[in-house]
Amino acid sequence: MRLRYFEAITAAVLGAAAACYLYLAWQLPVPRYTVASTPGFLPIVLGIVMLCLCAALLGKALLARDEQGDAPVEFSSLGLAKVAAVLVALFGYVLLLDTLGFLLSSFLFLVAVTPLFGRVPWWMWIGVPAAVAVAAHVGFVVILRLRFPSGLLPL
Amino acid sequence: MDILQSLAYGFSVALTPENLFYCFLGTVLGTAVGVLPGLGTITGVAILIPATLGMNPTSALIMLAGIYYGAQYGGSTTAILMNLPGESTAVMTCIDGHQLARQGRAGQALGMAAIASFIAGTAGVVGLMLIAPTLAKVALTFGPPEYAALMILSLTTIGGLLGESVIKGLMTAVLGLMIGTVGIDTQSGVSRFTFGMPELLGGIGFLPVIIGLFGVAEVLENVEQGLRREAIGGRIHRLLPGAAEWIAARMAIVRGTLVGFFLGTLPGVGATAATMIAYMAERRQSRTPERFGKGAIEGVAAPEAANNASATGAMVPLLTLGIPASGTAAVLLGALILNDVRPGPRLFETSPDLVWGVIASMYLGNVMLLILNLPLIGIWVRLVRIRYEILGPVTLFFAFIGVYATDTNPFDVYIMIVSGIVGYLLRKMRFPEGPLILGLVLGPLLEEQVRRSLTLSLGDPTIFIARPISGAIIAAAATLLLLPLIAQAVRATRAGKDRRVQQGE
Repeated sequence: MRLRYFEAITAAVLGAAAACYLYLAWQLPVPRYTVASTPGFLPIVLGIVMLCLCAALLGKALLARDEQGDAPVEFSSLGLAKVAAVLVALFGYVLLLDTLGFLLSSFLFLVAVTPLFGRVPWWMWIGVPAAVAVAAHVGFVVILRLRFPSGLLPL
Repeated sequence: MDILQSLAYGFSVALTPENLFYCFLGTVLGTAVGVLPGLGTITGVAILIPATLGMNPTSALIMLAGIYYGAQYGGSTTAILMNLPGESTAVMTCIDGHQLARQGRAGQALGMAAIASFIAGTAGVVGLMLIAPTLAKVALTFGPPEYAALMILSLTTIGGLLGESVIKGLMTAVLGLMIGTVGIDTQSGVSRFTFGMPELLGGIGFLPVIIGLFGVAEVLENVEQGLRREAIGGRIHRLLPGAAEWIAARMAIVRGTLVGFFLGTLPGVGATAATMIAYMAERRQSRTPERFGKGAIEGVAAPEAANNASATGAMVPLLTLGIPASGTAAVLLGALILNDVRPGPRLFETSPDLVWGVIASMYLGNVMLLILNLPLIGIWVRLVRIRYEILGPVTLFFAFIGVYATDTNPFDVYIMIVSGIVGYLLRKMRFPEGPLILGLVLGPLLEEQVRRSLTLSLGDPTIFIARPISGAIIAAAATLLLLPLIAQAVRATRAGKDRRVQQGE
C-alpha cells in the first residue's frame, strides 16, 4: 500500500481524536480573570491547530502527486506477527509479574521473545535469559533493594 | 578570569571520585550505545534515565551528558566496520569509513574518527564555556513572553525541519503538547482528559512515553525487519593516522568542528544535518572530489568532528535557556526536570556546581573517550559482534525494568507499550518522533509562560509581538515555518510552467 493512503488514514484518525479532544476542552471551566487563566485555553488552541494540520495532511495525501507519497509502505505478515507476539509477551509479562514474581517471569519473558528475533542455539536460548534474569535479580533486588514482586519463589 | 575561576571550581566538582566514576560510566555506556546498531542515542539516554533518579543532579547530568557525547564516538565504529551507522549521525561516516575498512585501513579510519571526535568535542566544550555564561546573562533579562516565544521557535523549527514533511513534524509536536495537557492543571486544580482514571491525575509520565516511543518502537521495527549485520573481520592494526592523512584531514576537522558547533546550537538542525553539511562542504571544496565515496580520510574526519561538536553545541541552549535544540537534548531536559532541576539562565547563579561541574566533566569525558576508542578499540569491535537475537530481548527487558522500577506501577508499563505501538506506527508512516518528545517536555512549560504573559498583559495577545525580543523570535519562527512551504509552492509553480512550455512546444 502506498504511503499517501496511510497518511490519509492517519490524518482521519488523528483528526477524529482532535475533534473529541476539542469537544472535551470546551467542557472545561469558564474564564475567571482572563481567557488565558482557564485550563481549557491551551487545549482549545491545540485542538484547532491539530484539526488544521490533519486537514492539510489529508488534502496533501489525496491531491498531491509526488514520489514521496507514492512510495510503498511495506508490512510483511510474518514481521507483523512477530511484532504482535512481542507485544503479547510484554502484556503477559506485566500480568504474570505479581503471580510468578520478578525472577521467574523475567526468565519466561526472555525465553518467549528470543526466538522472535531469529534463530539461536538452544543453550543460548535458555542460558542467556537465565543469566540475565539472575543478574537483574541480584543487581536490582538484592544489591539496589528495588521492590519487585517475589511471587512463587521464596526470594 | 571569571570563566577560568568558574572552570577551576567545575573541575573541583568533576574530579570528586563519585563524579569521576559517573563520567566514566556515562562515556562507557554512551560508546556502547553508539556502537550497538539498533540502539539509538535517545533510546540509550531514555532507558538509562531511571538509573539517575535519586542520584545527585550534578552526577546525573554528568552521566547522561557522557552517554550523549559518548554515543557520537561509538557510532563511527559500526559505521566503519559494518557499513551500518550505530547512530544516525554516523551515516556520512559510513560512506568513506567503510571503503577504508574494505581497503584494509579500518585502523586508520577508526583512529581518525576518534581523534577528530576528541578535537571537536574538546573545542566544542571551549565554545560552550565561552558562550554559555554570556548568553545566560542576556537571557536573565527575558520575561515570560520571550520564553514562550523561544519555546514556540523551538517547537516550530524542530517540528518543521526534522523529517520529510513539515506538516508531519508539526503534527507530532502538537500531539506531544496534547499529551502534556493530560492530568491536573497546576494553576486551577482542574483535572483535564483523565476520564476518571486516578492514574492519569498526575499526567502521562514522561519516562514511559519516551522509553516506549524510542526503546520499544525501535525493537519492534527491528524485529519486524529482521535486523542482520556482518562486520569486517580480522585484526585492527595501525590506529594512528600517518602524516599524509593528518595533512589531508586537518582542515576538515577544523571546518567540521565549526559547522557542527554552530548548527548544534540552533534548534531543529541537529547533529545528523550538521554531519551531512560538513561532508558536502568538504567534498565541494576538495581539489579531488572524486576520491569521496572511495575512501577519503577527510570524509571520515569532517562528519565525525561535526557530530561531536554538535552534541556539545546543543548543550548551549539547553543550559542557558532551558530550550532543547534536538530530540536527545529534549530527553536530557526531561531528565533534568525529573531530577528537580529547571535549566535556564538562573541555573548559572543557583547551581554553579551543576553547570560548571558538567562543563569540566566534558573535558575529562573527551579524554576518557579518546582512551576508550583508541587503545581499547578491540573491546568495542567485539561488542559490535553481539547478535541482535540477544540484544533485542535484553533491550526490551531493560526498558521494562526502567519503567516499572521507577514507581512499581504496572500502569506505566501499559503506557510504555502503547507508546511503543504509536512510535512503531509513526516510524512506518515516516513521522518524526523527536518533535513529540519536545512537545511533551515543553508543553507544560509553554503553557505556564503563555498564561503568565497573558496575565501580565491582562489578556492581550499582542504582548508576544509588541516586545522587541519576543517579536523578533516569533517572526523568526514564522519565517522558518513558512520557508519550506514557500519553497514547495515555488517548485510546484516552476514545474507547472515547465510542463506548459513543453506542451506548447
